[in-house]
Amino acid sequence: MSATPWPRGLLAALLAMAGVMAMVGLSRVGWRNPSADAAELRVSWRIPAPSDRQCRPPTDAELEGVLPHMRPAEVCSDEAVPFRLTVLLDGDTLRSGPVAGAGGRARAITVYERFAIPPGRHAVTVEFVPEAANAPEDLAMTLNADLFAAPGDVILVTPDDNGRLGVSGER
Amino acid sequence: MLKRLLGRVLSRTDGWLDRLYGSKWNPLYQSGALVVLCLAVMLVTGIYLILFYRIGAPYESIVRIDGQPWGGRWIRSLHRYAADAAVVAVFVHALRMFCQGRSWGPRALAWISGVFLVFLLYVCGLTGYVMVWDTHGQLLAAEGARLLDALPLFSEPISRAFSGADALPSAFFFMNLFLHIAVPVGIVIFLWLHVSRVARPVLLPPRPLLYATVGLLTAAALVVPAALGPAADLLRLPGEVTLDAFYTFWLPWVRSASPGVVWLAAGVAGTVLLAVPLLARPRADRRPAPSFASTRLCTGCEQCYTDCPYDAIRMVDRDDGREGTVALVNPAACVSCGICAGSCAPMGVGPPKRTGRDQLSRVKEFVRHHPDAASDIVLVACGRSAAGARAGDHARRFPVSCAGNLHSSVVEYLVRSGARGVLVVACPTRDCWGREGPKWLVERLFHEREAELKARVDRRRVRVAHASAFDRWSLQTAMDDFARELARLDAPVGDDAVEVDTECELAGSAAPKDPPQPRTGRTAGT
Repeated sequence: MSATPWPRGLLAALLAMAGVMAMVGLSRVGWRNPSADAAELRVSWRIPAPSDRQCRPPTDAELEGVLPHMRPAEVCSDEAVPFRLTVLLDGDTLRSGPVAGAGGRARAITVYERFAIPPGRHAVTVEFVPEAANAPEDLAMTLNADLFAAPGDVILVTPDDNGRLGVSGER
Repeated sequence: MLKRLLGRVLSRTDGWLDRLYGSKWNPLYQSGALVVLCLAVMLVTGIYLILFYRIGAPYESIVRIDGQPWGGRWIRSLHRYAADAAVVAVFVHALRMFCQGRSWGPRALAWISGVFLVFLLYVCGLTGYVMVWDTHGQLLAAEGARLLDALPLFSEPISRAFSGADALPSAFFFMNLFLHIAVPVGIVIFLWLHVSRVARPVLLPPRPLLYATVGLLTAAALVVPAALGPAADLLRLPGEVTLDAFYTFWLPWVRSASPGVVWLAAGVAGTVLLAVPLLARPRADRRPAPSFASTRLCTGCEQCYTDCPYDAIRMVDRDDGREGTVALVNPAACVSCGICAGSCAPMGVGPPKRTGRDQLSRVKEFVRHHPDAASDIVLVACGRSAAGARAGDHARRFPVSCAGNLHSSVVEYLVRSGARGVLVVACPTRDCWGREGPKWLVERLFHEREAELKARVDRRRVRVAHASAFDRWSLQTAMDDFARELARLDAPVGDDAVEVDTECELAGSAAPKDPPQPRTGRTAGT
């Protein structure tokens, strides 16, 4: 290295510029997201949690413990209706299990599942059915669809305004 | 082992850059101040950008900013590159403090607040990337939500917001923007905490370095504008993504790891970083003892109180029947830098065995054992400088723990003993482990700062050089220059019986011993 000032000054400036350019280069590193080589099936919705409300007249013992002006006409219990979510892809089960609302007294049931699926044409079945024996049938949601997913596509299964499951994102 | 290896690499790099830029402008010594400079640049450019950012149409507003013919693009790029430069400077600063053993004891607060500062800087950076709402921001937001969902914080998965079923609410971008703006307030608070134990914090680099840094970042922003990926599309998996290695280097790994593993790794890393003050501190028997002030010798001049770089000395009323105040060292705040030893004319303050009196005893021994030193240049060598390990062919080395500790009486004694010259070799001004050692040294030797070098000493025979551990070139140059200048002078004439007056020294042996210093708080290093 030369001891004269100007070559050192030049080298110092070049080094500073190289340092900044290295920093700029590192701030824009290209990366290929491997997930984008596959497609993704998303199942997503949030519905008010239906409850199974059971009421009965209060017993004498229950009434005795309450002041006369506060005695209820009936005692009710709310049980959240359990649901089962089943997702099939080309007949293979991706998910099958119960779904419960969040919290001690469920306010809503949130479903959010993501599945990486190979690109191509697929038969998709989604079932969301109440597990309680006496639950109304109109709570169930089902979808049977034949769809095509390209690499990087997200196929979203979600209910429409009428509560029927549909598919968006298919190209 | 790791610390020593990293320290060696850092010292070597210091040496090369010292030679290239000179120790005064070496950016490695200004890493902390450069972080603050980058934060200031981010603040100024951020205020401009916020005027044009729209939370209702984030990506479109960034495209519009980039399309401004008179500056939006380069201002956004400057904002971005300043953020990257801040991470680089933070890394260098933390590595430096770790390798130099400046992370424990009274400095633990600075280290721990520094860890929180890094965390806040990253929160600020990541929210900034999400604000752009291109594919990079989309990936970050989705991954962040996935990680947060693994914690028992939310009753419903927040990831669902990114499912694509509904448009992202403006509230999300508002919250993100709020964090991006509010976090810097936290940064300011932690920055204050970070420097709160330092008497005179240096928050900005010297002007030439400041202008050069801002100029280089601006040039980079003009020549290579910051990348902007395609707009986020929640119903499309981002394929080719441009990552920022300084902020989102972790994204590829995290995407393939389970949230539990990621949180565990982050927890371990955070714990280790926060535990550095405990892990890096020396064994109890190797920790340097804090300074003490002799109430008997202290004249209450307040010089040590003024000079202490860590505000570890305060003046209290005397309780020995004499008028005035006396210096009192707070051992919990004292890092044992020894700067006070050089500031005390009567040599009554300093770390044990490093006070002015101890130095004077050592230099007397040195002269007695090296009578030939009279014909030599004596290198008064800071242990961490280039002269710490070696001397030249025509020089004797008198080692001191830090040039800032050096009492001017030592220099006077050497010159009056007949030394051809005294070259005090200190660390670079901005790399003193005691912060202000070289600065006070020069003031004391040449600018009449207490305890000043007496007028009777021939100052032509005294010089100060700055050379980091591996900057032998600067040391050699300084020695050659000094030797050339000394050659023009007459041969030195030593005093037959050198008696350096130290005001209280003669009374020392007869006077009663100091009462023990009242101790407040913890001892240093705990």
